[in-house]
Amino acid sequence: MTVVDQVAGSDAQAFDAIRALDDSVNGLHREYPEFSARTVFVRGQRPVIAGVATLVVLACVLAPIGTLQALMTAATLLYGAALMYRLVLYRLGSRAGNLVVVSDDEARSRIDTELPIYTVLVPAYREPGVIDRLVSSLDALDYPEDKLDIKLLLEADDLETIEAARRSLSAEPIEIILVPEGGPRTKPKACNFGLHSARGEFVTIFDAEDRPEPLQLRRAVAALRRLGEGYACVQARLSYFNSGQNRITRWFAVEYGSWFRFLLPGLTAAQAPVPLGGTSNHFRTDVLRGVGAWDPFNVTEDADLGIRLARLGYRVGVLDSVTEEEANSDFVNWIKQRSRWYKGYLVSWLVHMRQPIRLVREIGVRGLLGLNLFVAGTPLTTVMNPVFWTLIVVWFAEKPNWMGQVFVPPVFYLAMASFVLGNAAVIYTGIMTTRAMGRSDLVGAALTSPGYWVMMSMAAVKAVAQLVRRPSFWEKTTHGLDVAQEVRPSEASPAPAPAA
Amino acid sequence: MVAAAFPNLALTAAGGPTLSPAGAALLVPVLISGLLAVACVRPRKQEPDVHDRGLDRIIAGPLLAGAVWLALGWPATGGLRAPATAPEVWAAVALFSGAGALVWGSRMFLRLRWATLVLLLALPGVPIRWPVDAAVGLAALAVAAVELRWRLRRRPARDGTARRRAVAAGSAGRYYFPPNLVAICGLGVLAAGVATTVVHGGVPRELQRSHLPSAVVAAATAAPSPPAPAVDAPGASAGPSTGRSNRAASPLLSVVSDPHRLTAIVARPRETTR
Repeated sequence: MTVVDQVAGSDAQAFDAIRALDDSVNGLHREYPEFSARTVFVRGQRPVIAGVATLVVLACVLAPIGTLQALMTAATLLYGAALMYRLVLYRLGSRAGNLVVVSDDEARSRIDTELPIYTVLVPAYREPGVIDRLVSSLDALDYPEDKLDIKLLLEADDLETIEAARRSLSAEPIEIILVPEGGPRTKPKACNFGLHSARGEFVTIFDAEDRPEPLQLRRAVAALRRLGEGYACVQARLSYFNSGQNRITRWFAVEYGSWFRFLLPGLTAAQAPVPLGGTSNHFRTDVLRGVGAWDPFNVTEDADLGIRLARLGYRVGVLDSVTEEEANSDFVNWIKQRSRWYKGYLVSWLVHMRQPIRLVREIGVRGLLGLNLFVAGTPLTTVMNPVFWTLIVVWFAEKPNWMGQVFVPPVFYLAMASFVLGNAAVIYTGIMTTRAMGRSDLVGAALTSPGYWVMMSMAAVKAVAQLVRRPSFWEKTTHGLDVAQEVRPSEASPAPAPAA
Repeated sequence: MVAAAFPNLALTAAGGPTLSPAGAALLVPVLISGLLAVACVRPRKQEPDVHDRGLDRIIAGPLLAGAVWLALGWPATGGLRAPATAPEVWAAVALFSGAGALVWGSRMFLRLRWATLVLLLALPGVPIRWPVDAAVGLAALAVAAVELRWRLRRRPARDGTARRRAVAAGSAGRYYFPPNLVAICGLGVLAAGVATTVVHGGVPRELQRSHLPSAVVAAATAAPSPPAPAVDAPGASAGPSTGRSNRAASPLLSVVSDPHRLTAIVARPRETTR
């Protein structure tokens, strides 16, 4: 283990650290200002949004019924389109051939000397409790030790985690890099800082509590070499090792199963931008540096990077290899994490919709559809759900006349179809996912998923509120909540196989 | 605050068991809710110290708005002496929950979610009697169990033998449950199991914890006992005097364990009116 605190080193090291920090914070904004979320609402967007809002308010005052009719029509169309797009993604994703499969034999076929240096970035902040897990997870990786460039990225003022890392990792070939203060305190900034000194031909990110499949790095090398230069990244599938902990983790497991088994492969098949997951995405290091790496001001820097890669002409594959993560098991913690994701999706959407015509030229109409219906559609429909639930309750309780006027027949039938068929379809796809996962114990979670939608809506409301006030604020997710929980043997994941 | 907002609901509940079936039906879920609240109010061992003021507001906002909507949409009619209506109950629960989320935070709101949901069962004027009676049995049984535990905890260590505990349980059971309530006690044990399964997800240890005191009390009740209280004579004295002193020591039972009231609930005629 080596601890790198460049700021506290020699003058040359300190200078290098300051330059790296500046690059980490401002690099993307300097190179591609149009892709940076440093300013979320740019000059052109503010008047448009303010103008539309003013128009809607004015119209509500002057012609309330007509305005509500128009709003309901727009919302219903958005619901219907987002639902149809999601079902199309399921259909595409369920076809064989959309996953990048590397067999065990192929993964192991390269001798150690032929393998490239692989950089593994592990950002952590205030997580002393999960540092111990890092050792077992990284020890399990089937990759030659001298070809691994593992960097644990800790904030310089996070003394508790630094101390835990010094204690636990003293005998490990892991470099602890202390990220200096300055700029936003976000995961992407830490990753950019770590990338500055990365030695690998390929680079990936793992969270400290992750349990990647042992052959994953070898599979990623084989996949990226087979796919060619056009592919900048392969995203491994994510799953949860504590999915049976409580109701929230079961819902979360079904959702992640849908996401990585059907939706992401469906997006690749639909030639739409792929919003990457937070960990286990394997990049070509030179390409990653070339596209400006992660946006330190975007709270879903992973999703943003996936869209940016698509805009700059690169493709992303979904690798058939699983990393097990810790599912968020606590309601409040879950809401914080999910609100950050939704806020980040909206930020990414606002960033990439700054120049719609250029966007269409870069990713085509299919890509535009994917960006709007999937990346933006997910949080927007989720935040609208409570409005429609309330309308349903009010209708059954009072049957007010104005609601009959607002929902003109065509809109009413479309809304009803969205409500009945849409909800049934979403529950059905959840059950389909549990079948694909071979997890019959999650069927109950799939059937009761409307409860999960309520939680999602709370998170979406928080996200929208925060988008206006603190767009770059990073809602910290607390990890290690599964520690000491009783996990039934049938639910426990098999331990990773030892390195060959 | 809730009592001030819904005075006739508070009055119905306060006058409850001795006045009408409506009052009893209101009170029983409140008792069960109180019991669940006692069980769940403390943080669990692995509960993280993570809070979110924004989430508190997001939870409280719709609940308070719902309370206002219910109160304005279905205002109480008939003055303070009129029986409370279902919308009033729902509005009161929404107001309590929303205000609770704001004051104590969403984490406490979550801990007390079952206790809050049970309050929704406090529908006045339930026309069927036996579920009410079973629920009364469950509530009284559970309260007695809490009381028993409370009392045993305060005993000197030298008195804490199994035999003495059994004797204490027996006397408490005979005091709180006249023999003709054996069937209700059985139902109470069953209901306690259901409630525990809901709250703790069927963890055997928790089931055992909830059933053991209940079963002890039920067994003690079924055993040959001192003269039973006169169930047809509301107001008759019931139980030994030691019970009275114990009851007086526990604020939890100041209302519900009054034998006069309990007897009145059990002995009331089969009324189906509100």
